[in-house]
Amino acid sequence: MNERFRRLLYRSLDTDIDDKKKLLLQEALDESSELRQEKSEIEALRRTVTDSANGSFAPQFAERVIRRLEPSDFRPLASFDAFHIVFRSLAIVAILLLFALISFNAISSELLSRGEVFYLPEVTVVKILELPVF
Amino acid sequence: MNASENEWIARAKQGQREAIHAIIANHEHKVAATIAGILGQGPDVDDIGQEVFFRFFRSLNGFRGDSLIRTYLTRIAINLSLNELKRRKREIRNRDSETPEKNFPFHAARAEQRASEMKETVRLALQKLPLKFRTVIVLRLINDYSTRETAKILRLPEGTVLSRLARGQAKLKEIFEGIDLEYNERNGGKHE
Repeated sequence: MNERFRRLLYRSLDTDIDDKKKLLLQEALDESSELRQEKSEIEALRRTVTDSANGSFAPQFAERVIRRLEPSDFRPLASFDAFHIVFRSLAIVAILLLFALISFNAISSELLSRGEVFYLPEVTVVKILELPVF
Repeated sequence: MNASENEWIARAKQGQREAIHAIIANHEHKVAATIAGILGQGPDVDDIGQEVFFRFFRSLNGFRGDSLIRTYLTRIAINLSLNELKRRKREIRNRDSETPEKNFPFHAARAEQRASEMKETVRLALQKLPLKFRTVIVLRLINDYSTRETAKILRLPEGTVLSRLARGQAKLKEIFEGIDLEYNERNGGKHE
């Protein structure tokens, strides 16, 4: 059997082929009994496979899926997503403010001590000793 | 996606049970056929089917609607079925004590298949088919997707799908002939 026509035969079953190729295939089918045999076999095979389709789950399938969805439910998931987005935005703003504060202190302060950059009061031993005792 | 599908999706997003039920009822047959076609019929099919819909509804907020629900569901079904096959292969590798005969469901079920109907024969033949051919045949012949849809679901060029279909069918024919031959040998040529 001519391999080219065999491939064309298979192709014709799954996609549109142009008129010229259709004519060629028809001529080849008229001439070759082997190709006709292949066509009838492959069509029978396709029918068998198609008819064998077993597309069903056990009864109450939808109920089982819904039961699985219920404990977690997707609406709380949506609220969690919204919370996540808001929290992330706030965190980004807070980090930016912190950097702005550090930069401002670093620029405006003549002494670049850590305490001044972070606006921390300098604690000395004397100051600690002077703390009131309750 | 058509208007009624859009409406079901919108209602399902609000958590309406009726809409979820309708979506499942509309698509469960195709999802079941996809999973059973790839894995073969068995208890896992139902579990994986549940997981397909569970994942679909859980990610519903991210569903943009630029593809059909059935395309989306079929894609999830294929991915989960392929994962299950990988898991089974790992399990088989880990089971050193078992004989190779027990490792293949085809051989295990072969004795029962003799007297069973054609459906069972097709199922067994599909299981013997290499995976890349099996998926296109399941989608095109069993699920009745067009070649273009099959290509879209599998994210393959149409030419590749056509070539895999042709080679897959040729292989399937050989497998059927093998099954027939084996049956005839065992039963003295009385197979119809």
